[in-house]
Amino acid sequence: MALDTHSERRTETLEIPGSDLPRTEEMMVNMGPQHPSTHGVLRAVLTLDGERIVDVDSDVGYLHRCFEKICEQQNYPQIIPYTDRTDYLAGMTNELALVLTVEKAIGLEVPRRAQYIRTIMAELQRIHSHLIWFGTFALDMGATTPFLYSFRERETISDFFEEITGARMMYNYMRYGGVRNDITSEWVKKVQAFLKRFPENLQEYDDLFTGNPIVHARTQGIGKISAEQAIAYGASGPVLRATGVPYDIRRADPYLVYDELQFDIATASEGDVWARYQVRMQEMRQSVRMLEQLLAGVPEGEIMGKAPRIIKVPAGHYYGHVDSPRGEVGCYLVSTGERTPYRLHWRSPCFVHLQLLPLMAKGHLMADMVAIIGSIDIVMGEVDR
Amino acid sequence: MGVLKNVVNSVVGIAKGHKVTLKEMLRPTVTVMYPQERLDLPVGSRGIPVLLSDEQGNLLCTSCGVCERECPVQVIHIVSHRGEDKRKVLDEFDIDMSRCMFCGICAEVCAFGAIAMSDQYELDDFEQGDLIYHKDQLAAIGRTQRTPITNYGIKTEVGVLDQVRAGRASAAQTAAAPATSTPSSEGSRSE
Amino acid sequence: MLVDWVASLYQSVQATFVAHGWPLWVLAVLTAVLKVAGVLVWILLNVLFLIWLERKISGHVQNRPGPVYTGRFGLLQTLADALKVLLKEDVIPAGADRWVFVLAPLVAFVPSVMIWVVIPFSRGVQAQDLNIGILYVAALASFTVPSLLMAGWSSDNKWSLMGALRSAAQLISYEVPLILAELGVVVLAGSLRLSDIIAAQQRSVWFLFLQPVGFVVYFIAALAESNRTPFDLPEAESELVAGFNTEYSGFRWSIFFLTEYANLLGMASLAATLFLGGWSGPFLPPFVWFVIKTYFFVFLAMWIRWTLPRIRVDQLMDLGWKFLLPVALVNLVVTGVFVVL
Repeated sequence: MALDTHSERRTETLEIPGSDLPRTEEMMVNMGPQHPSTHGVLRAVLTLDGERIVDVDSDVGYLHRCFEKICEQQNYPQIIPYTDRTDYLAGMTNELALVLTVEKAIGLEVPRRAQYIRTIMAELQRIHSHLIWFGTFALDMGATTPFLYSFRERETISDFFEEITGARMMYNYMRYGGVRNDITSEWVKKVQAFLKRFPENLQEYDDLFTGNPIVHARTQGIGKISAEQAIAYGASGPVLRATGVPYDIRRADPYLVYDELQFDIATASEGDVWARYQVRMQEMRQSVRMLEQLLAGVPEGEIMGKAPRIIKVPAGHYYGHVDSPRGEVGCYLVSTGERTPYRLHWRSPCFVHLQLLPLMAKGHLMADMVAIIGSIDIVMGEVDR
Repeated sequence: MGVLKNVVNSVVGIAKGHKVTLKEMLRPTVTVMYPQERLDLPVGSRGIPVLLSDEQGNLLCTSCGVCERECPVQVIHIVSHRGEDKRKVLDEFDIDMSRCMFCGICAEVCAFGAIAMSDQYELDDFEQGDLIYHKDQLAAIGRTQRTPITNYGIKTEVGVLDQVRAGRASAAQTAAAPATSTPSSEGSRSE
Repeated sequence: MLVDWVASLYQSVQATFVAHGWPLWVLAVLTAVLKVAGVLVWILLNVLFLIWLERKISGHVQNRPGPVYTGRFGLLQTLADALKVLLKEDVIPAGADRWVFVLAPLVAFVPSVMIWVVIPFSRGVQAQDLNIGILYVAALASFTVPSLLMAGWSSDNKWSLMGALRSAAQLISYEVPLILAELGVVVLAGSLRLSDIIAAQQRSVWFLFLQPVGFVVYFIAALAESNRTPFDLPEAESELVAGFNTEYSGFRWSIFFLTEYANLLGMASLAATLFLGGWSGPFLPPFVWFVIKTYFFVFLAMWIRWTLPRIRVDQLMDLGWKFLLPVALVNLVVTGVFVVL
């Protein structure tokens, strides 16, 4: 794969769609930071030729909250609630990225029950997050109703989270060495009942939205990237898998109990908006499959390992990563052996995917821009941190 | 014939979607009419942190200050002094609810079970200063505890937050009446 | 019947005028004013109801109750909203072309009311039974383009401008299949007069059964003409913020809103007249039939709106020129051959 991304980019711009059409005077339009479908505060400076996009310059930083700097002043348990607030739609997996890194650094053993619970939460979180993505993606395409349907199911999962963790979005649930609260058998039954009826809801979404010819026409062949480009730009998660690369950290570098689970890595080959759509819809089904296996076999035991009262990470550099609903969330930790990290870098998949935006959008129409932003599923809280 | 097949597929796809919306239209709604109806929150659901008391109504807090140290956003403010028997006596315990992020770490680190997350969450107020909750207010909410501590949380009486707030308003008025020299906005804070 | 009573009243008033030697043009002006007032009241009441209906339907489609607090079943919600909108500050952007900006909502609203001149509500209840009824409606429908262009251009906003240009492209492309579909009906009825078209349907069957293809083309094109999802590109919220009415607020915005629903109602009542036999029907009074048929189309349009995503601008053009136009043309030719034989 070419490391020189700049030359790669230049060759790619030669074959942008619609470049054979007559040109008119170009117009600059500010899409965002206040715009209904830039998913928060993304500002994309579009150069338009009529409705056709000539260039995209995405401007980030409107939601910067100094997450990484704050972490340098907090002791390790205090960082956990902050990670929830980076990618606020997938708090569980963010906490996991931090917690797994620190546990690896200090060599903590996590009881099997806690590992199971963590995996359950991570997969529930994936469905939870993908439901929002589905709703907002449909909203971007102009269909308002799927949004409400997906939120209906998401509420149920939020209730599950609230019952165990005490919160619906900002969980603060993972602990170094285990989890905060134990799950109950009634809770497990409730989740199992939900999983039983959830495929019907997915079928409903398919009937309503996936099978719609307008959706096909608006997503197929739009925002295409190749596998080489995706790898060169460091894409991960559904964006990478939609280009046909079956890379999933749950398989490539298994954490928790993923190596014991039966699941398929959802992939699609086209690399366009439609492919990313299908990958995410498929991932929800795979998560249901995983959750069924997990809930059937939660072992008895402790939920907290023997964590020291005061957590100090030995001096050194550590990296831990998990597959969040959006891609690879990485936690790069530099410690000098203190109670606080010396430096904590957060690898945000959304930030990486945003670099792909010009590549995807050039040559397409204004309306496709909205679909493309929706399909890479950015959360500005994570992009800016 | 390709065109015809395309048209038929499109019509079928669109018709399926309309079937779904028609079916959902005839279903009962799922909305909870919030101020009139309220969902029953599970125990452990994190509202504002409150102070718990024993049966005699004495606070369980020993002013050790762990919560103050461990709070990630540093919103807890404790002032205490040594009593006659050398034990710490709690003078002030303020939580700035406008900055609290309801992570629940204070309840978790408390070795005496003196703090728990309540199910009170409606924190609207007119003055910014009123969002700083004092020892007595936190204790008053904590005394209406209805359930044992589960997942570091308790359930309290419905509407206790409003009562506590109303109590503060009247207390502030009576306190401000004799001491006219203090500004009224400070009156509610300095009691 | 009410209609007969009104007719006899008119005749007696006319007789009084003749007897006293008063000029008859006064009577003509008087009746015209009354008719305009009647049509306006009809439209405003219906739009109030339609907005409520839209919100209720969208609510129930999405598993939520819609407006509930203002009045019984939230029926007064639109009234409350209208009041709120009227009380808002009248904002004209600094860079706006003042006069055009002010005129645009009016240019949009007036034609949507004028369509009602030729719509037959019941037997003989029609403001003016023009012999070129359909032509008149088609001519008025094209007025939407200049109004949206005016709104978009004068706002001095790039989103508005894009919305306006989209609307111009869209409305012009859909005018053609719309009129061709209407022509199929005209060929069958042998007249451009709307009352003749209803009479022709009373003689045979509803033209829906004779012109199924024409009906589909008409309905799709009419949805596009009235800027409703899946063809709401001129205002496309998720793409163009609010399209041509991004800069409009308060009263001026409410006129655009009113126009949208008046157009929807006009489109539905015309569909009822052309394809479902207008006011004719058994048992119930004709006016009730007219309302039922109109609201059937209104419901259909709303149902579609809350189900489908938005189509893209180039696909919209493709659908209009490459699919609807040929289909409408073939339909017209087949109808013509059929009639001649």
